[in-house]
Amino acid sequence: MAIVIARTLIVYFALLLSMRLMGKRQLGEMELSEFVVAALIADLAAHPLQDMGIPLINGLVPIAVLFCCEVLIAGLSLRSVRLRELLFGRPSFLIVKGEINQAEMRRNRFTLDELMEELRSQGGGDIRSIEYAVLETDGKLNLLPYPAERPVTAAQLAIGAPDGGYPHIVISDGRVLEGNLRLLGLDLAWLEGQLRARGCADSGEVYLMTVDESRTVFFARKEAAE
Amino acid sequence: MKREYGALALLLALTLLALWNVRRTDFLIGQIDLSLERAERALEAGDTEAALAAVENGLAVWHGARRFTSVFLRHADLDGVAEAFHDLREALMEEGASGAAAGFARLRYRLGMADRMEHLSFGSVF
Repeated sequence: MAIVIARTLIVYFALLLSMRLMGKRQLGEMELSEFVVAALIADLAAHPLQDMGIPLINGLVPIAVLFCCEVLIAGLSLRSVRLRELLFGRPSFLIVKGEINQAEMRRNRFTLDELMEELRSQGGGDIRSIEYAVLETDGKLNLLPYPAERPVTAAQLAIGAPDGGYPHIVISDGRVLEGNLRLLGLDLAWLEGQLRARGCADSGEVYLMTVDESRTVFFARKEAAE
Repeated sequence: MKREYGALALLLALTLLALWNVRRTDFLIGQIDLSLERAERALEAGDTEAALAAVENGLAVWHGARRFTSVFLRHADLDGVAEAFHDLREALMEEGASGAAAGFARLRYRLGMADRMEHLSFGSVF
């Protein structure tokens, strides 16, 4: 058992180090330690299930050790900026003020094809419109266009944008969610009135109904089963 | 912070459990080793029956710890020890002292393997 714990710790930190050295591109929107745990845990759980000769505890102990490592590292990195940088690295600026940072591109082994692909997938096909491109620590590329290229907001146009608040689901596939109704300060009598006004005898005829804080209703009737 | 303390406590508990496991394995194998020593002494004195009884006693100790061994020890090691006990008993019954020496050595080797695989060492970890 002590060997299992020691081996798990060694493999965990070895993977953490190797993935850190491999760079952000391998992560796929997971933080480094999460990725390492995800990579290890499925395999660890599978072995004692497949091989009856391995005691179950040899599968359970490493999972518990990985859980502890993940919680401890996440907690410590939350408190220490230095540890966070050491473990997860820093965001990399691939484009700065419209200029491609070629050294950072090389350091992150990010090709121009991949950069252009990311630009296209995020609707920024023209590289001239991008002021900053930031490769985040979880491997995701975020683009910040020049102010002139950013979508116009209601505030910039000085027009009022009605804020109805969060739309709560009150009927989901025929089922009334009374908790959400209460949250909105409404009751079943109000709901019945709304259903009658839309020609419904009961909630069973409704596929989806949402209500926001300004009482704006979205209503979708259930289709007849084929 | 509660989660971190919980994780630290769990890691500590697992480490303590691992240490207890090492001590428990040492104790168990030490007990069996005493039985084997008694058996060897009896065999030297020419008392095959007493030797066989001491080996049976060692096997009873091993079987008595089945709950512990099947949870904490590798099943391949358990099979190896059971097989070595069986071979030793057979050798004692059929060949007496002449054939038993190899059986004692094999059983000690198997028990030692099971014990070593619970101890932290460079060899066992890597």
